[in-house]
Amino acid sequence: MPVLRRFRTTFAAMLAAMWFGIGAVGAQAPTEAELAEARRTFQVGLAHADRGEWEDAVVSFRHVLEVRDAPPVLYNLGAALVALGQYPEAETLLRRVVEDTAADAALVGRATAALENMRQRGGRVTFRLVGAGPSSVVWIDGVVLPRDSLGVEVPLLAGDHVVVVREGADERHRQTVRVAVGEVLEVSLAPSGPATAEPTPADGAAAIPTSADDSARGARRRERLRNPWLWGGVAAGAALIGVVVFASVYEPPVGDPVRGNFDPPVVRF
Amino acid sequence: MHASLAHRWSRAIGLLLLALAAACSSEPTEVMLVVDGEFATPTEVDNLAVTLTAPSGATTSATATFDASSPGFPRTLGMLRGQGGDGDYVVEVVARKGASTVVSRRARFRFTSGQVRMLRIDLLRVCASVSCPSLERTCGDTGICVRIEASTDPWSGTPPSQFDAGVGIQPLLAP
Repeated sequence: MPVLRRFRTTFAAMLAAMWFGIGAVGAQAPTEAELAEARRTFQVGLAHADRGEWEDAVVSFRHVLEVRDAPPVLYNLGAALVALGQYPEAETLLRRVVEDTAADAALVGRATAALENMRQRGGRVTFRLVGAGPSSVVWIDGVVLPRDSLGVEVPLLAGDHVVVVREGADERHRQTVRVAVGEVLEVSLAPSGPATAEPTPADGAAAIPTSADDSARGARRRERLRNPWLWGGVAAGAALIGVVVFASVYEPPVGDPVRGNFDPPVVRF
Repeated sequence: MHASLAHRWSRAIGLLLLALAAACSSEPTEVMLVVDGEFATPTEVDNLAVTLTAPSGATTSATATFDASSPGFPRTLGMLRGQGGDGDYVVEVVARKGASTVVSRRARFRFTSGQVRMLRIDLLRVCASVSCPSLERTCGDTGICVRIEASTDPWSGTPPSQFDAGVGIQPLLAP
């Protein structure tokens, strides 16, 4: 994949620019210790990217971005997201590099090339939520689509994408969107109620680890609830309680009393 | 699958409860009072009055009369334990001729849950003129006042009689 190869070779070139940016910008400058840790993490991210370990590279670059929101970091994170096919967030990051007048010209050129690469390999889709509550969240291939990206065109890699609308842990809508190169689509998502479909590993590739973990935990919980042994145990417990309650309140039918020849023949205390 | 499993369990529980219900029927908790006597009816004794006192102090009573058309001794009375609960019950039998008391005896007993037992009280000539000073005592088989505690025996279904044809009198009265 020549595009990715170009990204990798660019990381090292961007490193010096990154450190320049860290030193020059920022009213709330990080401490030296934080900067040193960020440099180490950035190196780790580069190493992951060089080996094609894009998920790990994304994690490293996100950590660096928390310390310093600089164009080199934005570019490298954006490039890694392009490699993962996570175009919507990648485009946002790369556009910030292109529009940053203080950014290095070479870096801007690389970011522009990456955006063009995305354009050549995908289409653009506008997602609209219809009748959804304010807590509804749109997931594309297991990644959250930021709310401010709803109603505007976002890039998607050509191919099929699983789009899910969730409210909390509940899935309200699911559909597959097919995008062709150069295609521009509008997709209306209309959650209609609890969905029966379950998350699958195909759409569980997580760029945001905490959300993915939540989905996996929810799936495991639902799986446990389907276990017939669980319900058998519940039924057995209920049966035991029923027998105990029955035994405690049940008064067995008593045979007829023996009658005498007094008046009355039987007296009861 | 869940509904089917729950259905099977509920059916099993229902069968279990039915089996328990069928297996747990029992005899009443009852004491049959058997009142026998050495007196001729209705010439010497023509009516009996029984007073029963529960542990709570509640009392109930029953009567029997002797005449040409009614049976003589022994007479029986079913005493069922209802809400009276566990504890000591006291029964007093008074035999009368008209309004005059001929003889009386008392006994204290307990019910045995789920069983029909028998309490026998014999009205003896030797007790005809005996009056015990305490309610805790009654005329014994020898005419002496004794404690009123009595034991019950298994109920066989028919009342035994000690005094038929007079054969039981001698051992009771022998010194």
